[in-house]
Amino acid sequence: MHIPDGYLGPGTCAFFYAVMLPIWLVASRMVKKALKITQVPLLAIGAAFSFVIMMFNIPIPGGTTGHATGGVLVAILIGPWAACIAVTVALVLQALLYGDGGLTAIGANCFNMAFVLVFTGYYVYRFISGNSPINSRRRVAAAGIAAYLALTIAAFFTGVEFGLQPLLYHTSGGTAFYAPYSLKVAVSAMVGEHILVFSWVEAIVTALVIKYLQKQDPALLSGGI
Amino acid sequence: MKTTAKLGIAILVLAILTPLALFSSAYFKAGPGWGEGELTKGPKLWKALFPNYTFRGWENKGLLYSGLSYAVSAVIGIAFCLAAALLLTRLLTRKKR
Repeated sequence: MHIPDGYLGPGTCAFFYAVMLPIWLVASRMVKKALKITQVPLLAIGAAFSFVIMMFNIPIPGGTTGHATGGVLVAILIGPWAACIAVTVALVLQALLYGDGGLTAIGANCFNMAFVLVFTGYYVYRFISGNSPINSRRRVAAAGIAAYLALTIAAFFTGVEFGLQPLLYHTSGGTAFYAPYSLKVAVSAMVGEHILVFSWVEAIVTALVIKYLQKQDPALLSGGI
Repeated sequence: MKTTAKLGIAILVLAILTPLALFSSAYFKAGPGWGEGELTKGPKLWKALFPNYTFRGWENKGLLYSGLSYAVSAVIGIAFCLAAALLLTRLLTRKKR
């Protein structure tokens, strides 16, 4: 899901940087205003967790690989704004240190994984959890379903971004300058492989960690900003 | 032990296990993420420290080498994430102290 350099046209890259800029500003302000000192290590651990879980590329035999992001779990623990910052830190470092995701595509990659995914996951979790007790099974299920939906929707957005490129940037003869796949192909590939494989991994990881924390340290599950 | 310390240890264990993902991808002959591996054209804007989580010069030395550099890259990445996130939140919440 990490879009490399050269796959999105300059306008698309600029657009997503422009979209992310105010989101990053609000997220910084929220962290500044509402993050408790005790939550600071959790934000840092969230960034590190997101970083390392994204390295677990799961193979589709003979095909491509994909991965979970940990973003929904981080959002449940520290809230979506702080999670946006945490996942952004992971994505920027992946691009800078390891070339995983392009520098020009950081806006788009952060939009998909640090904004769409994190906020969708957080609010689906909150909606399904309702007023259920912190240690209820309903919250474990809510976390799993939220993670599944959030990664799938993030994959949909990534597919749309890929798929719009040949429409936006092509020669007069119709040859694509950047990512060459049609909208239909890109969206069905991205959404399909996530529905079948990768979103399940995100769901299982998220639900299991929430279940563990319910026993280990339930206070952590009630403190998001 | 505090939960955050336990989670920190869990993340380090995950880092050490990351080569398993690399090995299974090689075993099942699975390529990079969808749409990520096909284009090679385009200007290189930035030279990453270790492109694709592999030490320079270790790209074609076999799975054991790429596995080792993958795990070390994971540990380095985790250290950078912790440092960057702590620094950033410290800068943002400075006035509170």
